[in-house]
Amino acid sequence: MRKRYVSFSLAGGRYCIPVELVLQILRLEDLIAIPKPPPYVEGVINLRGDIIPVVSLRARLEIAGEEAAGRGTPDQRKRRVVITRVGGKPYGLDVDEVREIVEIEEGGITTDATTMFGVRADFIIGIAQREEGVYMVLDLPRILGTSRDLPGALAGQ
Amino acid sequence: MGATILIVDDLSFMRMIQKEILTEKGYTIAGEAADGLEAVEKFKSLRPDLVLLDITMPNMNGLEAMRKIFTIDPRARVIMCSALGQQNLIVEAIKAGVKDFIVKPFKPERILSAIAKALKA
Amino acid sequence: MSGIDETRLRRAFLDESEELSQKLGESLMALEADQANAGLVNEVFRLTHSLKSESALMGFTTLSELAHRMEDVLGLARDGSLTIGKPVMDSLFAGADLIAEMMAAIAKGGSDADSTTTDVLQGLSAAGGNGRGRTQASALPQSPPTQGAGQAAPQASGPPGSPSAPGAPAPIMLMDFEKLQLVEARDRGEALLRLTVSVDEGEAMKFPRAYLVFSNLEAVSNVVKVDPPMHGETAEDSLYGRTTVLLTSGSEAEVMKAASGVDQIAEVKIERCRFEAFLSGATADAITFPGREPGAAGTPAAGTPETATTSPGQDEQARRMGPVEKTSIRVDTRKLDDLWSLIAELVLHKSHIARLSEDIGHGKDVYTVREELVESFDSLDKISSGMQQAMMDTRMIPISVIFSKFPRLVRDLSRKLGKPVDLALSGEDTEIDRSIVEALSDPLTHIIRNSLDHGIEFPEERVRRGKSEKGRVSVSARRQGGNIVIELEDDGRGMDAESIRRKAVGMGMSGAESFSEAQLLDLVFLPGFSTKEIVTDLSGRGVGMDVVATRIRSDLKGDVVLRTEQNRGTRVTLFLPLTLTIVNAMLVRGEAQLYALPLTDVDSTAKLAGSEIRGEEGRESAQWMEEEIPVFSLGALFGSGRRRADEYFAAVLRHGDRKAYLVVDELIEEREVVIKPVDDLLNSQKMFSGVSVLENGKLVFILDTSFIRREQF
Repeated sequence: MRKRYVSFSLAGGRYCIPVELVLQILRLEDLIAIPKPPPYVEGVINLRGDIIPVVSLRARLEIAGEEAAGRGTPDQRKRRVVITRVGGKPYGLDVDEVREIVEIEEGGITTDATTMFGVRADFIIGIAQREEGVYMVLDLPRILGTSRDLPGALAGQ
Repeated sequence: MGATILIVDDLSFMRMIQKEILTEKGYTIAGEAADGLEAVEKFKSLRPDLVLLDITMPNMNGLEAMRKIFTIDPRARVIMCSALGQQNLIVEAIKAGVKDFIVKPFKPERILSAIAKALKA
Repeated sequence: MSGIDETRLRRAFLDESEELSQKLGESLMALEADQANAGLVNEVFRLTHSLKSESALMGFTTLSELAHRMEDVLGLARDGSLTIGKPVMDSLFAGADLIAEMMAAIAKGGSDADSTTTDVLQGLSAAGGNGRGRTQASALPQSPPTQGAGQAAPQASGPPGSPSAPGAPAPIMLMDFEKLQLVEARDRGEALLRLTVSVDEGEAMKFPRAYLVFSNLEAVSNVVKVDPPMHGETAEDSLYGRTTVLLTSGSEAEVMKAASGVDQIAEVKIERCRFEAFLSGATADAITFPGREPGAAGTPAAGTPETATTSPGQDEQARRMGPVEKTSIRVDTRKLDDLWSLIAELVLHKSHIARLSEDIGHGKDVYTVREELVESFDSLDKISSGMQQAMMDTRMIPISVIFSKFPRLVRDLSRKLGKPVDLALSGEDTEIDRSIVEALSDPLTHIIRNSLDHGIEFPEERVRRGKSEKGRVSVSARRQGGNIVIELEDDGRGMDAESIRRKAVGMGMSGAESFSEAQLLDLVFLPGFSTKEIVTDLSGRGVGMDVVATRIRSDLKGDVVLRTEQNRGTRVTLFLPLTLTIVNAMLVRGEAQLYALPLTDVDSTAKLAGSEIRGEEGRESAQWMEEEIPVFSLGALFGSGRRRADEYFAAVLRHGDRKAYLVVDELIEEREVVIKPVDDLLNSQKMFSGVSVLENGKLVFILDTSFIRREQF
């Protein structure tokens, strides 16, 4: 069973999420700051009246390395917010660049050896090996704290 | 002063304004009517001290109503309210016995002084 | 205006006039279908007449003038001098539309003068045959001549057109029989008096005013001559501003009384004259007066000299007022009955509880009482929900208030575009909250325009595609769960998802290549996405589907979905929640962020001096009345800490039995806010009960006051 995923770059690495979760892709504009946000929430955007939190995946995934620190910044013109709908609610993901749609065979995602790449392991479902490179498949519900098995996911760390 | 006044106009908005102006001054509103027929009926039953009568109304216009009112009581005090340009009608009304006329749009002072004068006479 | 509340007046005006304007539209539709119907012509005449009067009263002269012209045209139709046909109907419709436009502007606090009426007025004049309206015709009294006043023969008085020099008596020439009258009067021992009656400047109709005086005078004296004349060929109205009356009378006092008893007369001058002065001299000669005789009683009559202008002053006022909120509504009495029964139950429970408390006082067992109390409480809970619901219901009105405009809209559009279209409406009695009616009207209208403009094909194309020649648009409303669902459907050409994709890709929207159809269609709601390049004047007035989406999603907290099938048609479905959560709050600012404090939780506002705040950071307190209550600050809670100052603005919050100061940077205003739920991600400290977006796009967080009970932060 081949499923389609939207892929994007973060600090040089490739990540992807299932295409059905993606509502829209926008340039990051008019970010509104909010009081005392959690460390990985950059702010909100007002999209046609919906207040959508924008999450920095770099911060959330705790991507290590200089690129992650924001210095050696990626091309700002390619930076995008991927608007997703998870658990019935919209969330924006701040990514360096949106790449392409990839088709991945279900069996093609390995679930071990996820401790590499200096990324927080519990947010990754698995890794897909493809010609172009390696894609890390993200567990978005868990990242956003909307998955059922982690009620207090955000309250902790 | 307590004089009783019958307000006749087919627009409820107009009646409302007139009512406000008059009651504020201390007059009593004997009643209201929205057309000539009603005006005559109410005049008969209420016998107000004065009638404020609009000239253009459905179901018997002000002029006819006024004439009928004078048949009931030749000494009735009637003040005609008219829109601009109804010279003819007003003159007819004056001939029939109207005490005064007021041109719409009117100022409260105007209507009050007209009523005051009419009541004195 | 003395003592009359301007706002209330304006509201009453709007209430009445908007209804008239609506009825006007409906009556015109009916008239169009039955153009010879005299009853309908009369009805429309009356409506325009009423609109004219009301708006004139309020100072809306542009509106009044427009209504007046329409009234003129209808007047001509009423007398039969004008037959109603298409040009007449069109001009009337144009007028009615403009009136509706002006009413809308006025309701928002604007002015009728913002609309340009020249074209419409021209159209009306042309339709009316450019003939003079009835009301423009100068009044020609047809009354029979009274004693002495001239009739057929031209008056030999001074040239009627010549204005008398101010102060100088107008030369009066008498005809033979008039002179005869003077002689007879002299023989009777009467005095000859000349009155100069000046009508108030502010009196709009001088002739009738002068006539009134004349009429009064006639009753108590012999009027010989009036200049300008009261009968026969009367002069232009303004000339009657100063009327000269020559009369004979046995009692000057009576004459004075008769003349001054008329209102709106600025001045009445009486001069005794010598008969000889008038009797001598031929009729053809002008006689000049020797001047005033001693003893002339120049008595200024009563009647307040009015300073001119009813209009300009009122115009100014009318324009300067801000948007008026109509706060009176009409409610179905059955709904009030429901509310009433609930109140009755409430009263019952109230007495029950009162009795229970007495019972305790009399020593009744507390536990038994407690049980009854709990029961009562449960009932009260139900009653209070019931009352809330009942109150909401009074706010509900059938959606037909919006739908009723559509037949006309579709008729006009289909005509303009040359596309015959049938409109089917259903579910008009579905009830919606009063407050969303306005916000809903524009988006629905726009969607319909879109359908006709871009969706429905021209008849030839339709036939070619095997469709019926007439297009079909259907609008329906129904309740579904907690929402109102409105569907607008057309059987036109549908939208090509692929062309949307192409456009999206062309715009550089990454990922567009693989968007599903649903996603592509959702793009239509983004600005810049009209798939028809040419924007017609009908739907293209800067309003696009993106605005529709904003209105529905943002203002109304609903959703809009678009489905289409190529060549079959398009359906737009709107989901609207039944009620909006609106809260009265006090808007405050902390650094750059706005917050809303629900008014129910705000006891008062205060100024705190820096010196009054005691304790260490995080545990500060200050005195309020007799208590010492905690001091919080927006700066410390959400910002960079409480800034140091000598004095602070604060709100006194209360939650249950607790109170606390909340120091803010600015106390802005009390207002209503529409609450949206706030995402957990944004509410990590659980300080907010919701979030709101103001009209200016600014974000406001609604504070959950229960935080003041927390022990620590």
